[in-house]
Amino acid sequence: MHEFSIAWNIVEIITKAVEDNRLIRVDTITVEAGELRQIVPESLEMAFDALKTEGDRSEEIKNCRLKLVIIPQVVSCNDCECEFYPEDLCYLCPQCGSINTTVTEGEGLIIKSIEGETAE
Amino acid sequence: MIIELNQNIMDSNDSRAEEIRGILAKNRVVMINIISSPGSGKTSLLEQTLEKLGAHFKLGIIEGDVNTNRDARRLERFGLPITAVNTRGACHLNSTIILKALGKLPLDNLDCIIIENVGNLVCPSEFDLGEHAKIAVSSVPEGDDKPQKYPMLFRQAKCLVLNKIDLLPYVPFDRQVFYRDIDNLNPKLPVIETSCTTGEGVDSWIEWIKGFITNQPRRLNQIDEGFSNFRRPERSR
Repeated sequence: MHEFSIAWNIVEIITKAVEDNRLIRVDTITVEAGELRQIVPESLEMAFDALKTEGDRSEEIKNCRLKLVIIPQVVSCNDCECEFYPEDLCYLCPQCGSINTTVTEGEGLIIKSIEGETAE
Repeated sequence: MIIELNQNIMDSNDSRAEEIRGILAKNRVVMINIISSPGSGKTSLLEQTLEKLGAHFKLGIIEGDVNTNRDARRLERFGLPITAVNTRGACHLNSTIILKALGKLPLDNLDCIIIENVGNLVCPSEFDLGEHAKIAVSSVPEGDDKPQKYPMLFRQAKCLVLNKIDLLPYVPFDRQVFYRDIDNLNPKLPVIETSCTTGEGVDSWIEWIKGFITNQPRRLNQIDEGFSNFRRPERSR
């Protein structure tokens, strides 16, 4: 249930973003989670919904919806430079068989954007 | 209006992990984070490790437990500096907990700190603790499918201990499947087979960890260079 800690961080970050950008309401936040982060969307949503409405949380975020986008993995071969998806979790290069590969996408966990209304 | 944030959600954890790396570098201490599911033998492996490694290095322990301090009490007999931390129900240790725990250890008089994480194969791999290496422990009775089911940990680990090999004759565990999946996931990962009950293979683990600690550059900004010349022990039995 690492989703709870992740949701906690998300709420902290958007609470600060509300202040920084003087938002009066947040409608949607878009979270991008790499496939390798093993996030269970329902758990993250449940944790986020519970935390955003906690007693002392700001009114501006209480109706905010979390949109989760799972980013598929991209692995790149450091020898032949081809890019591939690790089918069956095989990280060996399918083209040249090299073990010298790097995951270039699918490991991140970021708040991509926040959508809402400003005071002005 | 849409505001592009592009902010790493783990920033607060990661920045404290960075702080920890600085503290470790300053004190020239290597930190190891042992991760496994509950009951795979982390504490037993730690007991063997403290017994055999204690003669070579000054060790400290951070003992993570969801509840109780039973594991920490089990290790008290070694007379080493040990800090017990309770996550109070949470399924992982984070860098805030570790930062606080480091404050209770005599850092200037240690070579290596071993963290025993909370038993879990998913969540602990999400949290950078500022450690030099995550060590995965898997055990035979858990089954041969763990690498495929929990790829993140097996990708991140610098060493994998396959424990309870004395139970191989009694439980369905296909070694070939296990190693095939590991080789696909993380072909450079050294795997050491052990039984903490019979003591088999423990010496290979001790050799690995001795090599890792010795070869770890303990100066700031060199900290990421790892130990890579360990050769995987012979598998066929």
